[in-house]
Amino acid sequence: MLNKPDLLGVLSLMGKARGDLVSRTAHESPDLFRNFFEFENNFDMLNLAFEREFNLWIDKHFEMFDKYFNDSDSHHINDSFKKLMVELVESRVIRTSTTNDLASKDFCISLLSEKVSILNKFIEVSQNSEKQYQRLLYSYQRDKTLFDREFKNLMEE
Amino acid sequence: MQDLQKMIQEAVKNSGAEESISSELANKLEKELSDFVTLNSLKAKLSVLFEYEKNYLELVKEFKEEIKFASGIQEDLRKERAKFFSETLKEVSSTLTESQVENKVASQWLKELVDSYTKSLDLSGGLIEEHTLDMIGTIRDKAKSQKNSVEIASQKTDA
Repeated sequence: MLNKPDLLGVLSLMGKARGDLVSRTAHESPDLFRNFFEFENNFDMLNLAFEREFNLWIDKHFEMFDKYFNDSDSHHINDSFKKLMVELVESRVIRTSTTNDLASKDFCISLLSEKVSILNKFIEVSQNSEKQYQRLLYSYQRDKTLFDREFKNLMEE
Repeated sequence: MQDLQKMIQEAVKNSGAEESISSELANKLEKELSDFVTLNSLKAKLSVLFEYEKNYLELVKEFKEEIKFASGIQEDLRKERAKFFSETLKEVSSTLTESQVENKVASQWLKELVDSYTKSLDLSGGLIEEHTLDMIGTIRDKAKSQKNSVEIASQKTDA
């Protein structure tokens, strides 16, 4: 069971991540809005852009977790955060699996599944924070590159 | 109560009281004694109930801050959900309209936003619920163990 400060910390992190999600639209974030215009006639590309945005949002949670709980050695926080993230990503996997008009469905599901796998290892963060952090940085970069590659593939089709 | 009736009739008979008044005497004695026994048993029951309620109130006092905390964070989340649907979503929608994002794109993006946002709210709500249920479990366990100790104490007093 999480103690009060830890529970408040995790709830606050989730709240900030929700705020960030809304803020990118409310403040007309250029990289997001560019997609809206660039792909307004190509819904395959647009859907892929939405999937990328969701992935970036998940990564944002990790970034925040690392920032706020880097010094924490609480097993409960890691466990609780991991559980929330797994549920969040898995709900997206279910949603993506049942979407019929997503051209890059397999790609998106494989990327999300990979995230679940990283999340399942995340519990080790307290034991080897630096190593895990490097793994997360690598994961962010890899996701971005894989999305760019998938965008290129779709464009060429 | 039938045993009590027999015992009284026997006692009256053995006391040598006249037969003409012995029946009336037995009835009066039975009524008095019966009221006394009932009153005593009621007092014992009320005492157990009082102790139990007293301990329960003590528990509520002990967990007052915890209960306030749980209800506060639940309330905050409810407010955030209400604000999202009544204000935030309208603001976001206005930004999309003002930026002249195509309607179909805008509505699809809003759907994405609502899905992700509400899923995150649901998960936060689940975490709070988990915390609240743990707290209720602890209060129940304590109340149960105190109830048992009140009952044992009452049985000892009766004996």
